[in-house]
Amino acid sequence: MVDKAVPDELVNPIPRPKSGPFTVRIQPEIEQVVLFDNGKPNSMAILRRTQQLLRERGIDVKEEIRGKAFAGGPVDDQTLGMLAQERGLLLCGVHD
Amino acid sequence: MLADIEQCFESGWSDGLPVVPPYRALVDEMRGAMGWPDGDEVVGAIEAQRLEITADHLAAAAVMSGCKSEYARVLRPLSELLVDPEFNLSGVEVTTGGTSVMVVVSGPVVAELGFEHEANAVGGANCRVNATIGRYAQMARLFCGRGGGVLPTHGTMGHPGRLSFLVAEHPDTQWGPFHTQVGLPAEASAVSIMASEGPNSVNNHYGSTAEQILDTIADSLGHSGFTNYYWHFGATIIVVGPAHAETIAATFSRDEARRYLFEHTLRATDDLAALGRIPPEPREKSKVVPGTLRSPFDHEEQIHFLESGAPGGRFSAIVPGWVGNYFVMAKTVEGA
Repeated sequence: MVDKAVPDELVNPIPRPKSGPFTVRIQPEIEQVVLFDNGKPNSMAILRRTQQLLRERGIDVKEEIRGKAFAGGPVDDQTLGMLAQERGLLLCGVHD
Repeated sequence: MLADIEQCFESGWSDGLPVVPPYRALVDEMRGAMGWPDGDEVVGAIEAQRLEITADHLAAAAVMSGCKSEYARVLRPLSELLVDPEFNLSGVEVTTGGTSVMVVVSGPVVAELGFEHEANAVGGANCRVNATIGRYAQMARLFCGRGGGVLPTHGTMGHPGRLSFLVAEHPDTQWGPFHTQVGLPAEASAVSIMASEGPNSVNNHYGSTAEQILDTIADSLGHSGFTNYYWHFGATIIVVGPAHAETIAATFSRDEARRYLFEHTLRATDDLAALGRIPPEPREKSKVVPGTLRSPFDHEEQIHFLESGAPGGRFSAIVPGWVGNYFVMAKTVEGA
């Protein structure tokens, strides 16, 4: 569909990501939940409640909840780098 | 051609309506008119998603939306605005806010290309240049804003403008062209964009003073469901119909009218909090002060006036911006 030699070629309007190599760790290294706030209006309140409920069930939850600087945009590289160092189960949310 | 239209549907190359298939010859012609000789030229990027948006991607969307190549003088600066990182195209596409790209065209180009700026100017003008350029902006948002087609959109409600949303201003205005509010010269033609929620109609048929009209707009603007209340961000465009514009302009300059709206669009912060419109843990930059009156705006420059619509009725319309980006962005339209 992108071969320019084809007379009736249709040009793809959708850009595709050009990803470099990356690794994904699918199992946490330690039994701890790490919460991350995406900055939506009630997200921090919901995450604090989540933290409380999980702890009541005996689950270790990291006290600090980091968040995005700007809810409408992606996570910045510095924050992403810090999150990549987390060894527990990282949960990001929420949409309210 | 019907098979190719179906192929576009199956490939996810559609906004839900049939498209003009982006045949290479059509795309090349459109891209040339837009001023990009090389289809692989990178026009913009979304770095966090490792996306490069090329001239071919944008020219293909322009063809698919039904644009004529003579619209390219608007499409080129519009494209540059859309891929500007400040606009946050992917955020606009995937937000829970169900946001569209509102396109505003102002200045001499409105008459030169035959934009409808009177009947049903805010939506449903049934005019090709309005409909297709407005559709192009939404297609660019859709095609380029989803991380290469892998990100879901989370719009809770959305609105019809996500298919096409372009408003052209009257060539002759009471207060000067729209784009002079964003720093462009009065004599220029311009295209502007704002990430927007759906428009709301404002009716006042019997008020005869500027204050009556502006108070009605302020009341409609400041309803308790206005998204801006919790964060204070987001621009807003007030589309002022010709009858309302004449009444307001008889008393107020545009800056005075804006100041009046800013000062009269207020609700009690405590009432908003009681309704659940203020987060339990407000962000510091949202400037929530219990016991005071609260404006949905942080500063009056977030309010913009656009003069458009048909004579006859006494209506205006409010277009709330998305709280995830803060500005109306504009570029001049060259050529004639």
